Amino acid sequence: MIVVRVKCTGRVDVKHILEAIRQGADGVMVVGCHPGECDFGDGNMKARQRVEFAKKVLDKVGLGGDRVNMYNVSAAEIGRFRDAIMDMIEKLKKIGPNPLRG
Amino acid sequence: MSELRRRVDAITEAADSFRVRAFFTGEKEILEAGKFSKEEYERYLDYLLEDEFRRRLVLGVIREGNGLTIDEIAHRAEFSRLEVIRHINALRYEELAERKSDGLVVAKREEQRKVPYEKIKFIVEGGLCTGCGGCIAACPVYAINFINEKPVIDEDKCIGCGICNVHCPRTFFPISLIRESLKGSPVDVETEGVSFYRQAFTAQTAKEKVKQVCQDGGIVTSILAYLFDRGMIDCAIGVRKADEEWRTQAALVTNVDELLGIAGTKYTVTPSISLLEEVKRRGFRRVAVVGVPCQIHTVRKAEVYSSELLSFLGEIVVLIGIFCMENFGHTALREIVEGRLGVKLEDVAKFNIEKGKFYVHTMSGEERSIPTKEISVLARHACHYCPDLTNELADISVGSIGSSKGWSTVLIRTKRGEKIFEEAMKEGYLIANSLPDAGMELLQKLAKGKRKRNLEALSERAKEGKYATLIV
Repeated sequence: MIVVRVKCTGRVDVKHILEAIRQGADGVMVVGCHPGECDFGDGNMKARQRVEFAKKVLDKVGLGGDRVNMYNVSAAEIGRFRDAIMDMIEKLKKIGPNPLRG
Repeated sequence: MSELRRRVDAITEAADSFRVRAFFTGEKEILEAGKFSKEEYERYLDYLLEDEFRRRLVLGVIREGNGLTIDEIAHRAEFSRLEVIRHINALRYEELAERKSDGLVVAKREEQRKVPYEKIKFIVEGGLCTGCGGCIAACPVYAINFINEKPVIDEDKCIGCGICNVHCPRTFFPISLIRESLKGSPVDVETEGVSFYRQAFTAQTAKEKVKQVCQDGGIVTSILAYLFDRGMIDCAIGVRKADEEWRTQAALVTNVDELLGIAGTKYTVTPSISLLEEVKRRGFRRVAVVGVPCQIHTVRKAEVYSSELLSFLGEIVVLIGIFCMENFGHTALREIVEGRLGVKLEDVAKFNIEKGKFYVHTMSGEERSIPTKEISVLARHACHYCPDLTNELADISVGSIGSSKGWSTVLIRTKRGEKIFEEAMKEGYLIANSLPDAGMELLQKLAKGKRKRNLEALSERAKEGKYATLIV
């Protein structure tokens, strides 16, 4: 697992998500603040819109849109973060490994 | 390289392409403008993504090959030939591919590229704008207004999505591609100068009330009346005289009475195609469009390069094209009529171009004329780059050239045009005889003349480098 730290999920572009998949990542998990709690206004909402679009793109080539997911977790919600990870793992298990790897 | 990797590369590039990115980024503004619903927005975004995806697949094939013919590309990409030509035209415009002198297509190295779909301001400033109004209909955020006979972009509203550029017939125009896709059966006659057609007639209206208001044979009005009477259209786009001085206004008519009120030709630029937006706003669907070649070109280009967006605006039932040698701005019209002919504009009852002369008929029954050669310098700049006299891409083309007084020359070009014309004839709206050879010869001569002259002007312009219409 590779952790990429960004100052705000609003920094994450569709391009970044797709590039990760292209390079063989099984999935991309975008974890940001709760709606309405963005320090910069609407960074997390933009991220959600982009994640939705990335899903559509991946579905189009049959890689599975569920490889990309957005979760809203604040810094204090450790339980919620664990649930998000478990959810992501479940989803990826269902889709299977990224066929672009190897 | 595996098939999947090829597809993933293409879709990654597509998702990052200018049009997709611009439209995606502008979601908030587009939905706030309210022209397109959320559902339409999403459908169009899907369409763009799919379109760019397929375009990048074609590009991928071009990049792997070292100079390929169109047929080779079509074979390798497993796309139809027409679709490949469509994408190659766009890729050439985007400067991602080029066609070498031997006809082979190669990929261009991606350098620091300019914005591939720049807003159409440069077309207006370069004097290429035909004033058709297509950009106004297409703009998703109502950022374009028609001021002083040209489209003006409201920079505060513009989101830079480039849709105006895609819809503009003067950024690039795939005339041979459209011709190839409209043509389609052995019935077509291909004639030098007037392009392909199925049948050629000299025709006249059979309706007395049309005769009283029409220009020549009353063909356009009769066909539209037939379509209204049979309930085949909800509305028709044409041009109305807006004031006593022959200023014009694009008009959306919704029944035969309104139709009769706008019959007759006007010789001033009018952004008719912008009314497709009104068709949508007023909740109509099926529309007939009447226009000069540049206006018909706009609709045809949208059918090829932006069919999804066009389908939100309305369903085109028929395109009726008027022959056009050139057109004038209102100031130029005033100069001709008042300056050269000494007639006040408000005294004019009717204009006409016949046998190389521009005629003015006054209210008091007087007739004055001037050779069209002398007034052609007053025509709009954009007209000097238009090779099309006979409205080659319309379903039905109509004009006076080649027929005697009170009759119109009609070229039926497509199946859909043929069906409508024949039905209208059968139901007694029109009478038609086949066009005499002399009429066709005259039409051909004039059409060839315009084509030759203006293609030369166009290639001169291309030599200057920037912004020549790409006719491929």
